[in-house]
Amino acid sequence: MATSSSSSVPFFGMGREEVDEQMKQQSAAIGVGVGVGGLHHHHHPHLHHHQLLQHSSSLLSNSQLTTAGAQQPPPPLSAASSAAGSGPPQPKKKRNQPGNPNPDAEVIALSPKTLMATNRFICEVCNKGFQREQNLQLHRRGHNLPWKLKQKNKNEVVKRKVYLCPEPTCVHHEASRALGDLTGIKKHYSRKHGEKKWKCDKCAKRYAVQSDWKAHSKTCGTREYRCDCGTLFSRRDSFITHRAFCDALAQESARNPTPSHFFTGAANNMTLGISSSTAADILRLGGSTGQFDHLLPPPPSLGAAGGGSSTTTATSQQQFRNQPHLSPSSAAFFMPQQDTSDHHQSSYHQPFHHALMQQFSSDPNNAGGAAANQLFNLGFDSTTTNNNNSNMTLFANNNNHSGGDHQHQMMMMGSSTGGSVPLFSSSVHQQQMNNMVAHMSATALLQKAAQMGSTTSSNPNATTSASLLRSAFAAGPNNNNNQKSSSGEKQPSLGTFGGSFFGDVDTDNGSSNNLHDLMNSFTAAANNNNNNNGSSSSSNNKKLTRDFLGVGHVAAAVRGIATTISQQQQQVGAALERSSSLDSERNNNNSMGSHSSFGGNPSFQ
Amino acid sequence: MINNSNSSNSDPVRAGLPARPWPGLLPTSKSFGNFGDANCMEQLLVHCANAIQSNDATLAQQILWVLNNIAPPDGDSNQRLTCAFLRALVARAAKTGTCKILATTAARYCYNNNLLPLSTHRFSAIELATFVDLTPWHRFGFTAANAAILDSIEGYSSVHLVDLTSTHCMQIPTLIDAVASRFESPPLIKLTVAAPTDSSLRPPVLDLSYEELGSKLVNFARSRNVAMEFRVIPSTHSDGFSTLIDHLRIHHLLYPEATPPAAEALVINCHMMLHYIEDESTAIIASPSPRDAFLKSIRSLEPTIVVVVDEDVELTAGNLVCRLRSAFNYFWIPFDAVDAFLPAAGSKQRQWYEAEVCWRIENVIAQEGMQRVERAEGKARWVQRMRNAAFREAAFGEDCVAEVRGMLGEHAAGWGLKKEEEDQLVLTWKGHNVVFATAWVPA
Repeated sequence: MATSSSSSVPFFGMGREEVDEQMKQQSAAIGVGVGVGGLHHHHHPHLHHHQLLQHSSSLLSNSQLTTAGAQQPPPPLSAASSAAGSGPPQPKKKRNQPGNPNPDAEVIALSPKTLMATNRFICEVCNKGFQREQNLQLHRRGHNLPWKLKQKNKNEVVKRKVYLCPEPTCVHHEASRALGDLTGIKKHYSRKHGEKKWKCDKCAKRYAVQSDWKAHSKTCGTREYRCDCGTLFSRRDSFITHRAFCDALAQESARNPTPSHFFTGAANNMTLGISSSTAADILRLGGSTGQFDHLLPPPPSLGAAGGGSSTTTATSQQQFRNQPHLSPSSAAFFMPQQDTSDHHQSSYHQPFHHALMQQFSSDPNNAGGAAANQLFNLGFDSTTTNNNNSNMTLFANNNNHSGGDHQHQMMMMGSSTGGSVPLFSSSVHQQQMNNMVAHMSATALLQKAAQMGSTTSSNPNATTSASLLRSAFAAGPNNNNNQKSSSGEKQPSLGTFGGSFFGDVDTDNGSSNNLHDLMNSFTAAANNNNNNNGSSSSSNNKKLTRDFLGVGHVAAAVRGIATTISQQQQQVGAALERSSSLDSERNNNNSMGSHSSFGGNPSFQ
Repeated sequence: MINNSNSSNSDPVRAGLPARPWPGLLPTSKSFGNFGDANCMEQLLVHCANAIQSNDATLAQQILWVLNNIAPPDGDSNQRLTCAFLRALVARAAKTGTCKILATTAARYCYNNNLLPLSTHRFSAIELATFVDLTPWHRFGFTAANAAILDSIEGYSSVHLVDLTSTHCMQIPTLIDAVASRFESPPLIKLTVAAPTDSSLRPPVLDLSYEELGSKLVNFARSRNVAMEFRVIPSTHSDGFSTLIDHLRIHHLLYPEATPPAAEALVINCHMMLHYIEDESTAIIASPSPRDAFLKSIRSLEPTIVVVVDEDVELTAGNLVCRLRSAFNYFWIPFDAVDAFLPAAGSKQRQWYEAEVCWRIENVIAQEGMQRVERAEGKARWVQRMRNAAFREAAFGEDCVAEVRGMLGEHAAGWGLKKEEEDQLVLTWKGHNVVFATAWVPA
């Protein structure tokens, strides 16, 4: 039974593929469950027509059914085979166009009222209406009334019936475009010319046909739009907007000047789509190296930012803050990445200034070295000018060096290794270090060894600034630890706290009075928190004062830097000198045929 | 810094994201008593603003310290909002130049919290398309404007669309799509846009030229069987788009047959752009202000329809504290709304989204004079200006309202639609006005 009903489905197709699909899915369950039509009606009101028809089909000898089926537009399979027979084989068959009936079919025009009537065939016992006489006959059987189903007369040539749309302006009002089945024309009429009274709760879409609404409700919210580039969208508007700017569209229109099936994400586009998805995926910002080219700064701003550590004007600040964006590749000097392919992304996540500042503040042991590094870098940026940027990029990319750039690369290399020795010697970056060493020629190694020695020997300079910084760090926690728990003492202690950095709080005008109260209560809250955790909760203190101390860091660093900056710059100069001599050595090597650069061409080994 | 032991299946370190707790474990400002609530934060910000205005560096520092501790940049939405204002105040303090120590605070603060300003991120067109669609903030105006425009261009064979927008034509694809599906023979669309100059860039910034953008749009229109022309006029809000107006005038002189109400419809779509035009407080010539002058000049072009979509907030006050209060009670919305759909604190989208809001807050708070370009005015003032310029309101059709509602239904539950005074649509978040949309025809 299930088989027969499911096989009959295409013949009862509603003239629309989607409905066919829906019915196919349901047909098995329906077919098995069919016993009494009324029962079904009760359970699946929206399947009313289909079920009854299927019901009848499973009960009847299929003679009537084939008649009914013959009225339909040709099912996809036969259409495809006829197309294959008549013309060249098509790769993909479009769904059959509605409204191309057999010319000798009987054309039936129903008034809108008759068409939409649900009860043309009335049961005289219970007044229940049916759309088809066959269904009424089956119903009559339940009343024990005489019933009769039309038998197909094998000799009689059954004339196909096609139906016109009652709407005069509709294309299906023409006999030549009449639709092949009654249910189809009813749905067409409702959809195109009827009131859309079924509204989706979730998305406010409206439907004239209940089954359409049901089908939509099942998928509403779960539906996704897929661009050929592979990106999924849950909303149509965002899909459209994406689509307009997506490279996949350009590719598609390059192949097909006027794509007609624009929204059907064709599977054969997928391969092309994938290749462009890398660029399309907005989450992967650093995915392609090309994106960084425009982020590279104009050199003067780098220089200005380099000097900006002690300036306070808004412009320099702006530049200063911009810098992490501007020269991501320079992060490589200070935070060498194990994996160069990962380099762009991670350097973006953690711009070198931030990294530096972290070391600057969080690691007292290393603070001196880091400070020296920063100074080194800043000094370097401000002393070398235009060519700097391009070389940074080249260095970071570790490939495609041109001969003309060698000098600068060497210079960069020399200076960076010189400046970052403390970092390099920490075990984290040992691997990178080894790689670099492996890529150096013997002469370069010798030079490097000498250089490392000299840089290490210059570290005492850096430690000076470190100790300066440390003393600045120490000021904060000490003060804070002095705070006592009784709230009466809060105000003065906060005053000294602030005062130790910024001078005394002795303004006593109205607004600040108000504010002092506010601050007062705040400190109370903060200290209570401390007390709850025990008097020696230094971690808590740290947390509370962390950012405040940060202010101190910078202030102290500015002072400390100012004292050591001249020494550091001497060091820079020395390093540059060394590296340029290294460079000339390097050029000799090149002329001798060893033809690579530090970037890491393995063939060099 | 945060107890993350419960999140066994997502390791924030491995994901490369800053440590982020589960929502339930948020280290809210509870440890600070009730200092975390928005009222207190607003009060502190106001005090801080006063201290900065009175050049009291010590006081300002102290409040900044307090604020800094109760408003981490990765906190809840109120904390992030306060953090944005804190940054803005620090920037203002640094700009005033009288308390230089604050400048170092600013620098330190940004490093410490890994705050990357958005203003330097250049969006690809696709990134921008995603960006504007995170919330209905822009899409609301797009949808309402598109529906109104579609209704108004019925019957025209050609439509001259002037798109004045801060979102770089992101509205146009859906408009093309709607035109293509609505009209059997779609009209020719002549799209004219005002290209920003380098000095007038504000986020979101595009990483491609308007010419490239235009060719993509034309290509898209072609794929939808809509004929389109694209024209770029370099013109900015700083001169009240006078270059653009001149161009439109000349266009009408050259092609009188295309002048409305003849064959060609003239549609002027102003999407969150008019508030960049100078208002009375900055203009050298106060009367008529460049804002009113602009409206009068577009009125003289006899447009078929003018759509004005903008943010329903008053940010033009000369007094810093007034402006701060007004901005604080408006910009909580983007921070609050972002929590409803983007839980991942480390995602790029969220970073860009919040950085754009931060940029605007900073502009409102820290900048003065011509540099303070974020000068939104409330709906009532725009309505008054439009009426003064001899426009009358055109109603949004029922279909339009339904469409906007449908669009909002696809977004988070907090977004709503309100009709005010019959013809004005207002986007709301949890009942608070966010963006208004109005359509105008010559009176």
